[in-house]
Amino acid sequence: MSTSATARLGQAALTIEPASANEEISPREEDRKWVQLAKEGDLGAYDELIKRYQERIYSTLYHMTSNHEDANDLAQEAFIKAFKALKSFKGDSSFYTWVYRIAVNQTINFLKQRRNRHHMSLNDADWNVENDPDLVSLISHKTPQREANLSELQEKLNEALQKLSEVHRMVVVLHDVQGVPHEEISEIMNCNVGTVRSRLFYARQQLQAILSDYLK
Amino acid sequence: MKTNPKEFEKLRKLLALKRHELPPPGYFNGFSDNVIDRLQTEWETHSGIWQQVLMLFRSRPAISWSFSVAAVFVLFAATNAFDGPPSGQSETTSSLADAGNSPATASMMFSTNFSPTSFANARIMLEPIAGPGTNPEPRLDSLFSTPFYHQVQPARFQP
Repeated sequence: MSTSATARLGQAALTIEPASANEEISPREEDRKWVQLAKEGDLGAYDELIKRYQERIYSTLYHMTSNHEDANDLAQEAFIKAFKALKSFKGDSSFYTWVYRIAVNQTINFLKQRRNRHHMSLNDADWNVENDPDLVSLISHKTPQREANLSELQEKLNEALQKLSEVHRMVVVLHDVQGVPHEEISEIMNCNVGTVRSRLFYARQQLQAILSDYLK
Repeated sequence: MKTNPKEFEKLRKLLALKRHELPPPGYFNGFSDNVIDRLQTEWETHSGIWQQVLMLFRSRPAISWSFSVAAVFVLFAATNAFDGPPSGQSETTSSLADAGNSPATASMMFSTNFSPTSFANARIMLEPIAGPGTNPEPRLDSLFSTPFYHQVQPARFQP
């Protein structure tokens, strides 16, 4: 939080300390305390929650939309919507799962409306990707990647993802890109683990067919 | 369609490359501030003044304490100001006080055995109030000059 924002909210000294030095607060317990404060209108506490999950939420939305501006708008909207609905948050699931669910549902709705609009911004790619061992192994054999440059590969990946339905894309992004376990995905997407597995399998089959040239 | 698990492994590695796609540097530094700013702006636009004051008190306990102390001080000062002797009294209040000093009127005011006879006595007792220096004209009975008529609400009447 910036200095001005801290001064504005008057929450500079707000920290959650464990009761004793030996006692460690779990992230979920810590979340619960921040949520309680945020429910009482403490924006400083909510700021902490945003900082904790902004990267994961943004990344998921970015991989779903393949567009930085859209991901930014959707991530902000998700956090605003979550703050407004905070009173209804009972704490049955973790705050992380709950806010993720809001972001996912909002993004799926957005993508359904945006179906025909399709553009990607790949300028923001981290160019350290060239040193990634997975990429090195992928392009060390006789594959079309050898000829294709990095931008083209990423573009091809995004195009392939955009060909999937929203729910299949979400499962692939959460599991194969973000590394979220099946059980957590089932909570986020409000479906059972079997559905998550079958969606993942189907999505991978489709991607494999689309990207077959790059997987030989 | 039979799928080779090894091919899925390659696909997963390929998809994992997307983790390197990052937003512009420093993007996350201002993200939460933007959200908080939007929340504050939206809240200030849609909420009433009392809600804003309440939220201010909640978020800044020092302000709410200061306000409480100031309120108690004002209340204390106001109480002291009203406890002092009144500077001027209206004629009605004076008349009422004088009437209250009379034994007959006092008994009338605090009596529960109200009867038309005591009602008449009360009216008679009012006449000496108009002493020397007051208007010599005979006073007409007025509902407004005899407020003590309403003091007792009898529950029974004598026939």
